[in-house]
Amino acid sequence: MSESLLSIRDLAVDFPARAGVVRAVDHVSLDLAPGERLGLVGESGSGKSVLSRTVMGLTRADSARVSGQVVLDGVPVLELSERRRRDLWGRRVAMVFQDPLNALHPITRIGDQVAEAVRRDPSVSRKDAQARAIELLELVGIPLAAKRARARAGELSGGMRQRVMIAIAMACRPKLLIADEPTTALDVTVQARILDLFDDLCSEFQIGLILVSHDLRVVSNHTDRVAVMYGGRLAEVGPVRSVFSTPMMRYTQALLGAMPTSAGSTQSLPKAIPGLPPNLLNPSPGCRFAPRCEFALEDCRAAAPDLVEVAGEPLRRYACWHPASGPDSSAATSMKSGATR
Amino acid sequence: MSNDPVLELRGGSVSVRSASGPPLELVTDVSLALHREEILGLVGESGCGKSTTARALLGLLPLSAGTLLLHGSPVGQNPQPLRACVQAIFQNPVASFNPKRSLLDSVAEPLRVRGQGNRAERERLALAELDRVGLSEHVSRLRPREVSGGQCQRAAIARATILRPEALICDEPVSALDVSIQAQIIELLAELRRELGIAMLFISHDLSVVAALCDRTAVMYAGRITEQGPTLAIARDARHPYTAILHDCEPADPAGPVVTPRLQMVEASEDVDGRELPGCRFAAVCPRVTGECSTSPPQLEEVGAGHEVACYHPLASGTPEASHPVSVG
Amino acid sequence: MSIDRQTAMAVPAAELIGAGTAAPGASGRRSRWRFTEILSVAWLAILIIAMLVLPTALNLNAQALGTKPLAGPSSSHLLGTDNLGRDLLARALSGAHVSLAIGFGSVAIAAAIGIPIGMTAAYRRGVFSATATFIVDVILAFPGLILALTLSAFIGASFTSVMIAITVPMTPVFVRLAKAQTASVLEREYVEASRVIGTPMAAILRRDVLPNIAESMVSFALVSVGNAILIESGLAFLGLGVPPPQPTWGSMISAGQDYLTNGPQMIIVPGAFLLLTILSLNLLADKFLAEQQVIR
Repeated sequence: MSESLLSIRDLAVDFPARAGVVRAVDHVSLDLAPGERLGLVGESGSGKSVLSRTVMGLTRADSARVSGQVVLDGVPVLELSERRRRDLWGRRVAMVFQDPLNALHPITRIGDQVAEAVRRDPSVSRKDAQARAIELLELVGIPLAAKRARARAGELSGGMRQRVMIAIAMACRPKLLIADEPTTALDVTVQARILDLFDDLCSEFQIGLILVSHDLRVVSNHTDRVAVMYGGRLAEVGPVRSVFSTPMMRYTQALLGAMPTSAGSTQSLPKAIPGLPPNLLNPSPGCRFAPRCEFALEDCRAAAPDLVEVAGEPLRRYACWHPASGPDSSAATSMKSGATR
Repeated sequence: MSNDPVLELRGGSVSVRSASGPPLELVTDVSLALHREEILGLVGESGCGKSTTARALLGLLPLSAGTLLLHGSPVGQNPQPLRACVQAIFQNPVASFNPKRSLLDSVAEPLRVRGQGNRAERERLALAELDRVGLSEHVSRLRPREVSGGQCQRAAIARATILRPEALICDEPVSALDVSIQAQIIELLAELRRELGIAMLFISHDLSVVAALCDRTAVMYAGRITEQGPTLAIARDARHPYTAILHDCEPADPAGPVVTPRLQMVEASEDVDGRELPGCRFAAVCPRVTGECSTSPPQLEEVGAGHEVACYHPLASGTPEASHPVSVG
Repeated sequence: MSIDRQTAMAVPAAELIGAGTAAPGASGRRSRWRFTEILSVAWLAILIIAMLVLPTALNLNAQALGTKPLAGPSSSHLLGTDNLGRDLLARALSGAHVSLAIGFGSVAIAAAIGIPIGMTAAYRRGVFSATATFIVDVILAFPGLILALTLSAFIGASFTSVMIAITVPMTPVFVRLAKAQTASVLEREYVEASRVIGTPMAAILRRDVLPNIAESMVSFALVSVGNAILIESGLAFLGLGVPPPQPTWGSMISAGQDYLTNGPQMIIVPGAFLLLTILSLNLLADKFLAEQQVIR
């Protein structure tokens, strides 16, 4: 078995609150191979953002209790002190955030910001860092990079700013990129370009990618595998096309049905999932999705389902006591049609 | 029932003073009509002027050109008559409520402003309206930050409909919500249209949401309407290159095959605001641009039943588009 | 109807976590009082009660010249005596009247005048706003100390002159703060929503703006009370304050300068009262400011 780039074992993240404990991530285990692109999908309360930040080592010990193991490129991240974790950032793993306007310094010129990131490697001289910064800006597709390097963050468009963020992330040649909703704040026409950029970078440099998003459509075209999360737990994992065309866990199915598509000859309203985002505070013992699931039965409320493999598809796992019929895609499709006008 | 528009904007333009130089026209020559029981979608990306148009329709911004008509009569300087007939819901539901007051209090506000009933009656009416949108009394007595975004948006809808307005302007009402909650709100709006016959303007940057909900759609770019028509026509038979690009850039159906875009916007090295261009505002990034496009702005011309396009080189009808995807090997 | 009933209470915690920052448990209600804040309130309460009750209860006399000058704490003089044998506790409590009256009084007047002007200037842009801003800038440019000196030269140092000297420079600060806060709130979406509903401007200011600027105003007011007391003490120290025989904390400290070695209580007693009072006011002011930040 090839060495995984990232191995998460039984990760749990709790936030002590006045009213109890908020369980943001509930015993999640995942692997990522080098150069593989994993989509992490979920809504509010799914735990995807907390998970990705914990993997980087960004969760602070004074606000959260973390248990489990995260091994990144051979390094046990959770066991490191905060100082040692900082060494990882940029070198082995880098994060691209949602809102580049807030993540970039408003006054320092962008060329300098990228050069600063390059100089996390202390062996690089200032002059070399400047040159490399311009190379990186070209790499991420910023035209007239040498001239643009003198601009400030506010002078660039949203898409350009995000490219700068990606250049900064790439500065020290990380092995893993974590992109947390990188295109949510961008226009649709720019979104596609940025996602294509991620694809190109990952394949050219064999970088692993965790693409965190609430938008299934974004994930489906730009990842190899997808992990769907709900209420801090993994709902379903597997090759992205296979999971989305024949979802097993009822939440995945409902989520797909809730997306508006203008497929078909009539306009169809998305089929709403009733209820509210899951309550992470002192969670109940059963399946997290049970309160909102139209197929939920008593056993769903009694105990949470474990992740099981799909027969014949070893890479797929799901957690559901009464899954949607697997290979029978007609049942899955009839769920998606929703209410017609 | 007469099919005259409830609320109509004719040739509306909105300008703002800029610190240096001439005033900047955010919205130019926009004509939109809202009819009873019809949902009109307004699609565009950030900065295109759709929110500005919404504010103009609400009388929150003065028009520098054109007229705003309510039931066929022009609305003068005083926007007061609009207040009884035209209401709105906004993008950030939690921020659209006073954080210090309960949702119930805020929903009852329109009644209080008009001096209707005494306090107990207003509370009763507000609770009834909140119940209609699916919020219990317990939740209604909470403050905006104590409830979820979806619940706040429902309360916003209750507040907007409590006076039974004839038109509802929805400015990106689901953009800030989870996908599963979006669908709830969309369902709610569709119900409202059915039950109360409200004319709605649904503004969004998400074409697929608009395509699922709206009867007619208008597409905006850099302050102008580029294409307008029945939603199915816009979805299946887009004639303006920008509309086609928007369709193709929309991330495809997750279960479907990958779509290669037929047209791509030309990526400009500098950010050009289309409003500064003399001719068609899309010319700077249009893949089909020619010299003619920079002379003067194209006007909206009819290309099908109720379907208009403003372009010197519209796409030919029946060009294959997103609903017949080309699968990548 | 297919609308699902939302009877369960929502969980803001889930959405806050989804947004990437951890602030679970912050539900918007007042946060608990911290120990220091309780102590602050306690001190102020004790001071006020003592100031009103103790002089009669213990038969204190701030003016009576005593037989034992510079004495330490004893059963007859709980906090000792000054160089003329006067009871320090009595004098300190008498001084408290002045300090608190000036402190709260000047802030009350400055706020009552300044906040409405500031709020109006924020929404009525134009001549009114420009004029108000200009006057504010002029007054703020004027050093308060010079004003105090001038006043005392013209009308003599007195309670009134001190009040004027403190209130006049303080009012424009309230104007500016109220204007900035109001302008900020007027930009918010819920104000826009109120306009769409048809709420008249006066009601918007009263119901939407005022409650949402209240916390920062209260916080600033509390700090200003502390400031005012400090300024009064400073003026008294310089001889420009409320004249004798009325003792004030500042004049007591001034008088105690010469007796540092053999009668430190002359400075320590008024100094302690001053310190505790201002500290309490500032800690309470922080509490109101902190409340604003808890709610994201």
